[in-house]
Amino acid sequence: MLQLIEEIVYQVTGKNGLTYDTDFVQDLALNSFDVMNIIGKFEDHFDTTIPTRDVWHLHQVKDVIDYLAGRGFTQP
Amino acid sequence: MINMPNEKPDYQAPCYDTFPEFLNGIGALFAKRPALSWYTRRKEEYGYTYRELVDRVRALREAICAQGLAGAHIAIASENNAEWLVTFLAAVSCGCVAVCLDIEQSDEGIRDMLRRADVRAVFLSSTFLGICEPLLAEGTVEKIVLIEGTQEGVATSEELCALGFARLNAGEDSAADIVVRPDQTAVLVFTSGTTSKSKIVMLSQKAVLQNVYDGGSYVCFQEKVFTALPFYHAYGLSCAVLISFQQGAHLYINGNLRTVMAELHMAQPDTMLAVPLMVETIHNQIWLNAERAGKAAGLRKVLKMNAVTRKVGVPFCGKVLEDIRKKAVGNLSLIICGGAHLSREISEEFDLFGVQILQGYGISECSPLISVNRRKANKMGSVGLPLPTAQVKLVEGEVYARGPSVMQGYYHDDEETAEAMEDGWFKTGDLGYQDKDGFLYLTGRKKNLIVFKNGKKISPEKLENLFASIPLVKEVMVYGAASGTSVDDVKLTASIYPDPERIQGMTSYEILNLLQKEVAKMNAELPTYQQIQMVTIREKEFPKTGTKKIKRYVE
Repeated sequence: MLQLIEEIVYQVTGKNGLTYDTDFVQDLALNSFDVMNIIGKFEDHFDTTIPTRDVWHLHQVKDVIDYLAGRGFTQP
Repeated sequence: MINMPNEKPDYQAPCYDTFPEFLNGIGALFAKRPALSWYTRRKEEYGYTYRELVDRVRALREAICAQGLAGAHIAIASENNAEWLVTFLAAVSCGCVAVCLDIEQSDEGIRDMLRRADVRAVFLSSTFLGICEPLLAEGTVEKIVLIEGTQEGVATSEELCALGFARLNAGEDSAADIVVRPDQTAVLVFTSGTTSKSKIVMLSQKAVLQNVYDGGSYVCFQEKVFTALPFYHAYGLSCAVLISFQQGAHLYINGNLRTVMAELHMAQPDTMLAVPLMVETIHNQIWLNAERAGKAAGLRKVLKMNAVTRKVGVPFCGKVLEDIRKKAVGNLSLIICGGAHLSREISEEFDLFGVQILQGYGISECSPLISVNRRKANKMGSVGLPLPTAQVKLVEGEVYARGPSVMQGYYHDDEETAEAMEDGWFKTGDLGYQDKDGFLYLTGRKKNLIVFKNGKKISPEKLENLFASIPLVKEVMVYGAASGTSVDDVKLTASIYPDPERIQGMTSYEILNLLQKEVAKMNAELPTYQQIQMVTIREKEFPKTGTKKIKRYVE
């Protein structure tokens, strides 16, 4: 899953070198539009909808993994 | 004071005084033209013609009147969608006051806005049902209507429209008989206050429509317009939506930031209204693609040569740049950009790609547009010429604005209104100057607001108040730490003076660790743009003013 997130983040922003603790805003300096674009790619990949208010809670890579797992997506 | 002469309008449209007139006008003038389009998640396009849009608005407003809500404050709590606009137009064309809720607030923040704006009915999307339902139970709100989705026991706007159509078909059109005056309040919008609470701006029917007329007379949109700007904000509502309708353009709306780029390619608009953040994202994408293809150095060279040869009227490798533009933004040739500062370099680069960027300037209290550049009178770096009916003057460097589009005042807040106004002039809090041709330039802010590149503003005091619940924090100051080249390129930072009694025996690392955990908890309840990105620790108390307030600026 980490690899998938890394791929998507790279595709959208050109940034790489992610770990589970990487914070999208604090460590990668992504703006809210970048974050939304990344979430949009997840939605397309998993064919699901992630409510905007849920996105507020997804700060680090591990938050995304936990969130997706909570919705039954454990495999990339 | 500098008075601008009336400029020749770029687009000649009727000037409407009230929304019922506006609705009748656009329905009659553009009946069969496409008015509005949107995409579903499955990328299917849906839309309304002007006739369909106006008919739907008439049906809904008739139903609103039949429900005994004529003249009521009606709130809209939803992401951008067509029904948001139908609800808005229905409300303001039957004498109701449309309360445009900033949905990027916390759950309690949304409930607070509804209470303070004396809202009787809320039209909402399913996301906000759970947030607003407690207000129904406590009796603050009388009615909740779902504009998207269904839920047992909750009315839907689809049902209300059906009721309205049935009444219209039976010859009942009570809403059309309601007299709507130009000076009556049409809209309440929320704006960042300098205190912890947002202020509620009252805009009259005429104020909004005059602004739409003036804006439209300066900038003529083309055939297809695209916007992802939130409708609850005056910029998105007046400049993107209402000017498009006034000019009979075909408006593509985006309700979900994460699909902006995909929908931009599908819609192939020629005009887009945006904030700097979106423009910069497109810009970054162009360079990212060039770098991945190993063509970044070549592109830089072409741009440099083009900038030189253009001056003598012979574009260098124009075709190459056109291809890049087509790949990045399709047919787009005009971007109207506002809400925050956009760097001049980006404007210039887009110009070389064949996309003209017109920067404008506005503030919710002025409905919102004050000035904008024009296609044939564009000075990059400026925010353009004041609108025909907007007077602008500079008082000790601060921009004051006056004219028919200035607000009626802040709702239920005479004190703040008196503070913001001076002899009919609205004190914007922005600092700037005008050049000899009347173009306005902004240089900074007098008011204590942090402005982000997505156009959002936040009062630092609002965030500082949230720290009050953290015992470890004795004093805090939130500010936008510079993180880039432009004035709006900031990182939201909290400088904290910890309570010395509580940190005895702790190392700096332990203190910072604890504070960061508390900030993370706080951030979890805040929209992304309001989240604290950096925490620093102070060893001394902050210097204070005579009234014991923290001094924000070192003198």
